[in-house]
Amino acid sequence: MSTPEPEKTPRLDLADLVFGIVMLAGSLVVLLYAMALPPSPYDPLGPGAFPKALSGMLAALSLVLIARVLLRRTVARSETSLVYGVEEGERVPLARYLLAIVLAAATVAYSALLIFTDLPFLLLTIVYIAALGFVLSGRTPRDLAIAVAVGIGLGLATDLIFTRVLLIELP
Amino acid sequence: MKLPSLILTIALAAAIGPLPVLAQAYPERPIRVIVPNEAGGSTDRNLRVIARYLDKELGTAIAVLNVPGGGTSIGSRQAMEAAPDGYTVLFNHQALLVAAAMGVIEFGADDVTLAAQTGSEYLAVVVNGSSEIKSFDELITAATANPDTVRYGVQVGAFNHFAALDMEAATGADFRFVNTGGGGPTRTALLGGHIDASFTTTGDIEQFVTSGQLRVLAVNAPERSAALPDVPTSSEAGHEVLTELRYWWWLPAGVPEDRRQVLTDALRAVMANPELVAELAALEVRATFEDAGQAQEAVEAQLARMQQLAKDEGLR
Amino acid sequence: MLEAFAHLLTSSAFFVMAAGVLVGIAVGILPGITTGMMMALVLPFTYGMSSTDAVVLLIGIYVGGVSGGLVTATLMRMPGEPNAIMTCLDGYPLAKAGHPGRALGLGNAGSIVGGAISWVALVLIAQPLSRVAIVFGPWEQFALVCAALVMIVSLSGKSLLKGLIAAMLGMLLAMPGIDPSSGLQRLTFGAGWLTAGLDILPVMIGMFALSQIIADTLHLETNQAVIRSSMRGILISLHDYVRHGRNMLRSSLIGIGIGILPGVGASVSSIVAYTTAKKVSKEPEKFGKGSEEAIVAAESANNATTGGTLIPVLTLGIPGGLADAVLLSALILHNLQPGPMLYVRSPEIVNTILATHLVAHVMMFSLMTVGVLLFARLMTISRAWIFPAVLVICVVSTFALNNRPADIWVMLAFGVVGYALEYVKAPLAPLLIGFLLAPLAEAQLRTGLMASGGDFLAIFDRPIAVAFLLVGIAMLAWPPVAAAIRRHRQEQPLAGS
Repeated sequence: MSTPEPEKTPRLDLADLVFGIVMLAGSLVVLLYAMALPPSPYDPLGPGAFPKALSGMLAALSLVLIARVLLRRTVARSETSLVYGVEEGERVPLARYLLAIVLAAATVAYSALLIFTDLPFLLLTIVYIAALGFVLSGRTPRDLAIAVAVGIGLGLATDLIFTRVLLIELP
Repeated sequence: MKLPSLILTIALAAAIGPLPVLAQAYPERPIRVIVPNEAGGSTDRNLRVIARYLDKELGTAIAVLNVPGGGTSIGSRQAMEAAPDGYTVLFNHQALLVAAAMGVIEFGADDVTLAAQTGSEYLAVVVNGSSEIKSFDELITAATANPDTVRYGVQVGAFNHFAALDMEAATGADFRFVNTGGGGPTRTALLGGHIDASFTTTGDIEQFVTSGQLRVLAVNAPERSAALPDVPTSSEAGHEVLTELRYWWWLPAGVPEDRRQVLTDALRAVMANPELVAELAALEVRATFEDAGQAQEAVEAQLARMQQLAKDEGLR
Repeated sequence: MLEAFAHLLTSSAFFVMAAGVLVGIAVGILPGITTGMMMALVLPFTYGMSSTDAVVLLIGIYVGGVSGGLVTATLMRMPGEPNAIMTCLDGYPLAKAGHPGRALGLGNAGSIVGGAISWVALVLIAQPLSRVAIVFGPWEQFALVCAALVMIVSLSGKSLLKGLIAAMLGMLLAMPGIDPSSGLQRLTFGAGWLTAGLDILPVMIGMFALSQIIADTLHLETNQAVIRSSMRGILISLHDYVRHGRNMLRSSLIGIGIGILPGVGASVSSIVAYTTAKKVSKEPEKFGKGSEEAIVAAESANNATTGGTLIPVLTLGIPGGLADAVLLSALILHNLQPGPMLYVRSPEIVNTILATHLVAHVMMFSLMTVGVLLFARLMTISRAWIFPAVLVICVVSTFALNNRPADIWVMLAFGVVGYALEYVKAPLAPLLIGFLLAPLAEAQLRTGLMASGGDFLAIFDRPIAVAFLLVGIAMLAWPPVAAAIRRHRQEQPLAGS
């Protein structure tokens, strides 16, 4: 076990605090539900033992995290991140965050339309790829032309592969 | 599967000429059959074998859709909630009744329309090849004389568990149930001596018997298995137990009666096809058929029985 | 055996295999579509084939798919297959540092060596090794999983607290659904779709592919020029093979060993090989920053797992995962029941499987080597056009996995969760380990308890299980002890001078 340096940091790490609180709240909800699980006639642990133990430990660890943040102790950070891009101290312009939100929202909308409506996969996919591609690109008139071409091309290709070759029944 | 059979359909239609137009031509497009298990399992396998004959009989493609999870409840629910137009069909065995008995899925006559029962397998009771238990009667005697000592491998809350509870009720035995999962893992646990006995389907056990690693005590069937001709039936071994896995075809509630009848008739026809019977026999599946009425009685009786067993055992 | 090789190389079976490997690699590269899924989709087409062609095709896909994952992992930092997650950790940094060819070359070399070593095991000692799968009962598997859970500490690096939080979260995420040991539903909060629990694939795609795209969107220009440098180094030198030989052998053995145990799989084997390589490495600090050893370890292990999982499939008829289940089903539908007698009754089909396993690996190696030049072109295309296409594939394939619309929402939600965890710098590898291993630990422990009549002490009757527990404790205790020894050694010359 590595022992973190008991250094004091002047600033309150808000992200860590929120993280700790969310984890604590989540684990307490799970703990509450897990308490209500019935025993099993065959093994002494039953369905509840693991959820209870795990949520209990998560709650305890979250409390440690919250305490460390509030006491202004440093909380070590992961150096082997699996997702690249969230760099320390890097300034990201607001427009970029907006772009990321647009991307997420467009994907959610695309999925929702695919699941809940009878709109054809081909049409939705062409519109989605063209629109999102255009927003992500330099947004020049030339990009618009490329976006439409790419949308139609990739839309036809994915439709062909998924519904004709792989015979996947789309929702 | 889809494309060749579509071509076949078109070819057939061209050859026969326009069919007499019924009230509503059914089926006029591919029918999707939901298998609530992963591809590669025995339910999936049995369905795909039948589907190859059924698409010719119905003159439309059969699209097999694997929707696994939740003890078959996810796929079953998806089928029940589908549009009742006859183009979504559920293929499942007692797992659905067990899921209902365990409270995982709401299931009643209002939720589904039964089309037919096709194919069934009897289960056998098996022990390790070096086990001291030599006969079915010895197993039952041991489990009756010393309750909660004979370790019986099941998947808790699944069909083989309920079948074992049923066997307990029929023989007076009291097993110590050990959760070892489905067929493959349970057989492995038996080979390793981690359990004393378990159920097995008769199809995949024969070579373990030949190699001497496993010993089959009895087949819980009315007659002996073709794959295991030397193994007595349970009644020959002195205990009357039947353990039968049955496959059913369900439609969502509210499917028009004439469409249900089309499906039932098509299934009756294919199950009488000697080629299919032979193919199923190679998988140790008996080509049984029951129409909607007969099958419904069996389903209701079995569901009631399983609910009773779940209650008596304190499973939920 | 020679006949099988001759048949494979001279007949139409060769083209069937080539098609299989090619499809496999393509599936491996695309995030979301897994090898098992592809094999399940192909299964109906194999009915009409001869049993040899069916097996050759499926094994070709299997081998190609396990290797293809490394391309996307290295060049885009998205695992094309779940088992390529560890390759992301070091493949991408090395590629970003200007050596994409080298990174892919190392991974490709690891893949073929891992495949070849597992082939040797599959051919020579399949029967004795299949004993392992039998001897390992619930207690042994529980103890093994416990020992593997210790890796969480090592994977957390400096951020032990956040690593443990992530691991606990991962384990909790694996709890909802039907409790396998009692058949009752738990933590489903009344949602019917949750009775199936959270599937690994939607969680993984969301957490690693979707959140990666979100992160990349924030840095669109900065990342644009990243990997345009040369693809040189795709064929690594003989010297490299010698230098990484011991690592390749160790990782392959880990891969084979884990492959034999049902239900664990290639994702876990690459994680175990990675952590082990880190533990014995002379430069553990380089892990996660583009370590060559790490890439070799992860890729050798996941390819070696293919040979490992085939052992119980062929000798006992036990599938380890979806891909194996599909292969098993194809064999059964051709009236070839796998099991102890398969080797006696149908030696020709066994030999075909063995020959295909090796030849498909060689073909995979060649295709990947050539293909890398093509992938290099792909990387110069603007991400504005790549991302929408990748997202469409993620959405559709997540759905196609189990035909459950809910999986799409799970995938999208975990894209946000993954990004949030990354934002607070919580390590994701421990979460993944927890998610994969906690259900195994729970199920095996409770099965052991059912067999022993509720007696926890029964584990001490199983020497192998006790040994694994001791290994776990030793792994936990070793780093502080090693640090103490190092301090002691450093102090002594000081005291002497």
